Amino acid sequence: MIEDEPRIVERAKGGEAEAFGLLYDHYLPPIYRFVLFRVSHREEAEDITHQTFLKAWERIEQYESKGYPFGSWLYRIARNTIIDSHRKANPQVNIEEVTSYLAAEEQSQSDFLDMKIEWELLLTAMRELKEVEQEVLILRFVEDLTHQEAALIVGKSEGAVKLIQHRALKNLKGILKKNEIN
Amino acid sequence: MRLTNEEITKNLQGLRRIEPDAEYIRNSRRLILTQRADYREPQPGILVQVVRSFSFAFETTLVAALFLVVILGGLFGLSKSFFLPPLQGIDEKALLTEADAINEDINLQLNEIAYFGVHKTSTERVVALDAERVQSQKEKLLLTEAVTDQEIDKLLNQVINEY
Repeated sequence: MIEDEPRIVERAKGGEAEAFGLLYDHYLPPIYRFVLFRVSHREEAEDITHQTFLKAWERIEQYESKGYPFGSWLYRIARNTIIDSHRKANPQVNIEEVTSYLAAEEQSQSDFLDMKIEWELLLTAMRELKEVEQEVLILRFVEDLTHQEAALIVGKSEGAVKLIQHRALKNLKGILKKNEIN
Repeated sequence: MRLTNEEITKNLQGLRRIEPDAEYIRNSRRLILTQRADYREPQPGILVQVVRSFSFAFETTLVAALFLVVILGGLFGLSKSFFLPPLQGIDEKALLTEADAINEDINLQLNEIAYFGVHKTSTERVVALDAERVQSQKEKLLLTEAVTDQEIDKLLNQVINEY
């Protein structure tokens, strides 16, 4: 959660574009990643992320905190936008495009390439999981959200999210093993 | 690729390094904030909003009250004969009798006026006729007097001549 988020949200609800800009800057990367891992296509991810923030800005008066960060609300909008988008057209999957945005950072080029291959294998395997399993893994391990926050976003109970997470990791290992054999 | 849960979660955490394109961020941000600003006016101060809301409420109440007065007044006027109960303590028969008596009085007075009006005219005519009669008698008398005077003069002249 961004520092002093409740006050910034109230300012944004009052129509202050600058305040919504702060929320946009803070939440854009996680929302973009969440969408990208789900659709595996850069341009589609950009479009859906854009629509997500546009909807949020247009409907910000409807947002009620209820103790959860503003991000939870954004994730739910993004999730619904992905569902709507997938209803309209079959998504194109391009895992290499996803990993092309990974920065080399401090690793050597060879280490980075090894990592990139591992990520691509991981993302390819994840595509075989159920949608809710993918979402829980992304929210819990990529975005480091709590079980409670993830539960709110995917519309399940906290206990259900723990079970989904456990099953997703087990299934993912099985898929990686199967892909290695193939 | 046999990864443990820890290795999988570590790899997943590494995906956090994926960031959206910087140019995309600039364009998307500008479009969103501008698009919203297109149809949303900046919010006025609290005092202005309160004054505006009171002003609007006052005007609305005033218009509604006037409208109600006009509508209810019309309805009352149209429906009072149907909906209003007769007043307690009023004897309708006595009222009708009293009204008849007043009507009779009025008729009597009108008759008197008509009567006196007719008689006034005939009296004037009588007076006028009498006046004419008096005038003719006066004239006759004058003629008679004139004749008498001539005779007296003639007789006097005869007496004078004889004496």
